[in-house]
Amino acid sequence: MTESFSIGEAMVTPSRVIRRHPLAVFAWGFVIMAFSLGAVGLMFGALADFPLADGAEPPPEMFGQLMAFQGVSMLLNVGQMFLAVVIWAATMRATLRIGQPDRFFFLRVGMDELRLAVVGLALFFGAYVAVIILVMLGFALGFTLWQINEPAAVIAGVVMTLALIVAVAVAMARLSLIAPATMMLKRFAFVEGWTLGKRQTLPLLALLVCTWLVYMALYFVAAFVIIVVLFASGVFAGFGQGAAPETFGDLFPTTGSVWAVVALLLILGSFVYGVVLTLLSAPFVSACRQLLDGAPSDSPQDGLP
Amino acid sequence: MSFSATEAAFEGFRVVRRHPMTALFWGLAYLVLFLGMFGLGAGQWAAIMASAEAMEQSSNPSPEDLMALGRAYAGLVVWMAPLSLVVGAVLSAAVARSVLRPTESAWGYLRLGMDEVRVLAVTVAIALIVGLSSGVLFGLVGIAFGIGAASGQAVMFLLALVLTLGAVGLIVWLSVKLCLAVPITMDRRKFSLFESFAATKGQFWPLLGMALLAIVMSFVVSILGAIISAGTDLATGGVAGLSRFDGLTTGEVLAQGWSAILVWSVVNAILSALQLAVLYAPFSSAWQGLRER
Repeated sequence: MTESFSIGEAMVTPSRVIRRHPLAVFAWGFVIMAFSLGAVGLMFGALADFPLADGAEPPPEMFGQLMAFQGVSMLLNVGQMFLAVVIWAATMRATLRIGQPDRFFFLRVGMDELRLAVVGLALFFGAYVAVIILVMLGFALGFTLWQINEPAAVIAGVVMTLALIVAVAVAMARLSLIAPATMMLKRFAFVEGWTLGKRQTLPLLALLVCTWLVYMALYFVAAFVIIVVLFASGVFAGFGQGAAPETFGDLFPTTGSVWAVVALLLILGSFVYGVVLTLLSAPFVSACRQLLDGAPSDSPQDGLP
Repeated sequence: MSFSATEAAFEGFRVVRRHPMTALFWGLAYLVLFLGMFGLGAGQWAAIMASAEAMEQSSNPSPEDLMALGRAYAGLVVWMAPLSLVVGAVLSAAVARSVLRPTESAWGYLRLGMDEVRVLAVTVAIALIVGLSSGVLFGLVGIAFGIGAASGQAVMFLLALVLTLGAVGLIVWLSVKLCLAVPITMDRRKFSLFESFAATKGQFWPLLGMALLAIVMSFVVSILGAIISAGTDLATGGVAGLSRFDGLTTGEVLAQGWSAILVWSVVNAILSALQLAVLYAPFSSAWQGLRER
């Protein structure tokens, strides 16, 4: 176990994963992208007959369809959560085994995934409860101050909001090694992950900020490209043309350009999404590995201490 | 043997892996409970589902609607509560037995003897202690909120909020301090309620962490269960579909809605058995690790 980690080394790790395993990166993005597009298609399909004309009543069978869709929608959410965990585990597995070929693109369904799901849910609900409690305390304190001195309450409100944002960011940084440690040690590593982050809060926060900056840059570039492609492809040209839409389905053109966009999303979008997933996960795996055993991040071993 | 919170949290999965048939036996016990519940009260369930559906569709449910739903539930709880307590005690004892006395595996560790009577007594005692403590603490919180509302002093709301957090903290602390009572009672074959306080000394955080992990894992199991339930509910209409039989007798509801009741009962019996193992077994494993300190 070493006492510090290199932020530069951690930030370079995603590019190593992408360079050495481009197909896997594409597969991770494709799985999520295909699932999401399928869910969107299903949603539009279920609502296609919903009448939009003035005074039109939905057909009686529509209520049953909507109820059934609600059930399917819940299943889709669960499915998306499941896939997110499987892919999160795959990105970490790939980061720990850079250079090693894997037939299944590092995708598995096993105990690693179960542990990650539990860690993810525990951290999510823990953070959620903590934020709710802090917000409630903040409101109660703010109202108390408001009765005493209104300008002071406003200032206190701003300070408390900023403090909450900083606290959430610091907590995210401090807790960021628990999932990678769980993956590497092959057991729940809440204590180990927390201990590894001791005296590393600032470097971890810096790593988090760097990751988010790169993510935001990627996000804006991708959003810009998507908007340009959508306009250039003429998808929007179908909107608002012709007669007023009678059903929800009439709002959406089913021209070839839509399929072109879907294909583009599935091919290029999948890779970009895979890159984003790798970017958000790999740096912390690298940091965790450096802290656990000081091994270089592209060492072929499985990251066990 | 020492106690590791993260190791103990997985004990439920180990129990099922060691003896997969235990999950089947526990599932059968739940199935008996569910079928008894519907067999004797299908008419009441239809009324409950109809009331709940009417409330869901109403934008502004009236107090009468709420009262009707409450009455329907109360009618069911009166005879369901004792049955649930007995079946719950038998199952809790079985889970503890599967960890503490793994060789007694016949009938999926299910028995009906003095162990079960003691577990029932301990469970009721814990429920009373935690329930009464919650009642007193949240009563105080309610008074603080009431004073805050009456006086218009915001500081009273702040105080009430701090009191609420304190009350929740105390209930959690009390629950953790009593969490080993059932395993100790099973292990020592005598009613052991407050020995749990001594056994948990210095182990509060690991035990709380273990319990939270067990709850999250149980949640994961329930998510997977929701996928299966959603499919079977779509196919059969689920128990919510019983609302259309409101006003019919229990026999008539059973005659017309037996397929939905049976499928719901089987699916939920299996899921409940798995959740029982995941939720309860860690505490017996923790006691196993702690008793030799």
